Amino acid sequence: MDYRPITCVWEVTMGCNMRCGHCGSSCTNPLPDELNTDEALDVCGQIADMGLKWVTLSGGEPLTRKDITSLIRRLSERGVSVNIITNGWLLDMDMACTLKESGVGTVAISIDGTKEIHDKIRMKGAFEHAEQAFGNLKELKIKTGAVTTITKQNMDILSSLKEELIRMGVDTWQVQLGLPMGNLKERPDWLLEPEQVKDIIDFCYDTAKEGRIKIYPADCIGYYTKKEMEVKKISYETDMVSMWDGCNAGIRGFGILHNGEILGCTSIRNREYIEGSLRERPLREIWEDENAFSWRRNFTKDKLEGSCKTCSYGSKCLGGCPNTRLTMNGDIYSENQYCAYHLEMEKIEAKYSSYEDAKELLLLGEGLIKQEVFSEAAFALRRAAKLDSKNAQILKAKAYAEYMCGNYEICKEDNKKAIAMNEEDAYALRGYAIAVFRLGNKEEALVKMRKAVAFTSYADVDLMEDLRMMECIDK
Amino acid sequence: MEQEFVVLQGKAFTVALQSMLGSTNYGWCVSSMPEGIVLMGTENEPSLRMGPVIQKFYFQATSGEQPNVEIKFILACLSDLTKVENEYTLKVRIVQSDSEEFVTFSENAANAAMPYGFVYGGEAVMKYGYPCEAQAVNAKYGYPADELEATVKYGYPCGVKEANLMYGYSCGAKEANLKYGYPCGVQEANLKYGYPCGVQEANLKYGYPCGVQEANLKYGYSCGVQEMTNLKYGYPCGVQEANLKYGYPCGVQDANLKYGYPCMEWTKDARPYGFPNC
Repeated sequence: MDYRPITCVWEVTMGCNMRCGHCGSSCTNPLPDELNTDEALDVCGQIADMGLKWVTLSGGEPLTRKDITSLIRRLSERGVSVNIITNGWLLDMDMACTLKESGVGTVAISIDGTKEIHDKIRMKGAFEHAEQAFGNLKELKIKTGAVTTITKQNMDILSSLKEELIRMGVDTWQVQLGLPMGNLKERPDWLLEPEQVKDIIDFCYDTAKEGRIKIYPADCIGYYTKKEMEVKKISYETDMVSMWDGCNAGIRGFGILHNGEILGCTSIRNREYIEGSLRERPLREIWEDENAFSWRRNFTKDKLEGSCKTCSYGSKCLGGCPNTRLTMNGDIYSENQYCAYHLEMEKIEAKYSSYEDAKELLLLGEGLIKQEVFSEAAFALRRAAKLDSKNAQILKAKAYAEYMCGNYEICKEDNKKAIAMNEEDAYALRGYAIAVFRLGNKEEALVKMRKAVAFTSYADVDLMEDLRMMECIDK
Repeated sequence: MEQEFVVLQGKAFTVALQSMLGSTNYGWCVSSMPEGIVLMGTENEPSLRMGPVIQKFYFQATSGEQPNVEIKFILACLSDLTKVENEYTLKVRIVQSDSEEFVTFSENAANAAMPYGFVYGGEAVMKYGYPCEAQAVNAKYGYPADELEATVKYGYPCGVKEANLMYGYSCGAKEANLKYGYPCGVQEANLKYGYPCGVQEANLKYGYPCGVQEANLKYGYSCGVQEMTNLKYGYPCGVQEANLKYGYPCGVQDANLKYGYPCMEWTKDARPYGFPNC
């Protein structure tokens, strides 16, 4: 088994004592098929047996479940760290004490704005209850967190909200995008504009630099800006933070619905993404099923659409949060409008579309390649190739830039065109060979690479090295 | 001497200039730098043997307000900078970057593919085209660039330390199909002792013809090409065509010299060891 789960989110109930305007699960009353206490305790045991490190209990409102502390206790006794996300309404001192005794790790309370806005989104008195809850948790020295779903309702008051959270002594703050699902689907005017994602990243960066509260942008916010990396470094208190490696669903984590159904992520809850039910199969069997989570485990860059398909980060992020794309466009493979780099690509493409001189663009592209700015080089050279499609030099430079962006099929095609202009072009042959090698066709790659070697009369050490590598590597 | 360089604002670029600094004390210096360009550092890369030094200058364009600027270098005696032997002007075109800063990533770059989270170290690193382990990786598909200004070459060694080079050619201990600098695979190998001897292209083999019909070389000189020299160390240069021996002209009409000297126009007044009949 290549995948080892370390965390899961468990929506223990769909019942909720609030009717939030942005609730992604449209929670109201508990559903009749909710796992009963015995079933839920058994799930706790299976989670521990699987070796998970963290579990986040959410809902609905998890504190409406009468047996919630039993579940927390069972998990924590088995060595699983338990976090809980609540609206805080029921979190009086008695509940806080019970949670403490049951061994809860972090208690996070959803806070969507300063008092007025929070109460407007949730219900009157919600902010006051949350504030009281934070106070109770602090008194008991339970680690606290706030979770904020950002929409146009609260985008402009994030700074004020930050001050409120700092005043209440909240330890950590997770911010996430409000996406068109559940109740928010009915309120499209609440949704952020894509370019506002950059403002959120800036806000997170400024907040992290201040060092007064630890802020964590959720996985739907990004991707690959230096600022967000810096935020992670500060909040995780380490320099060893590396680039986001795509959605964790089915890779290192999974979700459990109220009725014991397993899915990659509780946000991606369409029937087609249900991998099995704990009422029918044990957790381990579902996780280790070779066909399970196939949408994620077999996700490759070439399945992406739009600009994500040719993005240099595509193979790394696989389009970012799949739920963002699913809820925005109805398709997990569609392009991610909320990606900061997507916005960047639109800007770069617009910049180069105004160039009309192919030679100038070639020079630009080559300069950018030398500086290893491959994505921008690819945009410059794509425009150059549009202006002068018969220029082998442009095609070869573009092929290389595309290759470095991970676009092997395009690299292959560009080199193919260059070879058609000069079948003895060793560099184009080499590029073609390496591209098809990366696409999995070793035989064809070897034929082309040997040709390239022969055309250089065995004088190019690099080519011979390539050939040797190809022969040795079992792709 | 001047060249043009295109750089992106905010990204470092390297200018590499060759000098004989080690033996002559004449080296390249930056003599003029425009606003918007900063010199981040310099480094001298000595030759392994006696020979030229590559002086590397690391710059960054910090501003794109002036899109066309020049950096000037002089080749001067470092103990007396008034003694300037050469000048070099690099035209730099700065592409303005109005963008957010993003983390550099290419799945084919040598420094890419760090796994998410804390560094696990278990994932294979991709380097210029091949998934491979640190020891095996050597070089790959790079973009060709002028050596003087290159920061990218036609295939980089991915790490000097890991490279497995032997006699100039990679030669892994087990899997190698190269030997003494040439491939020694059974089917593909076409080289022996230093010269290509492919059926069509090859002409040389240690100075001896290696094809029956095509070969028209011996001792390393081509024979029969018009612009090439027409003489040779005095050996016949082909069974049918050869007409020379020890210094006799090998073409009846055009042969000019004897005893092994090239007969080119500019040497027509020469009288080397033979009879001047040019």
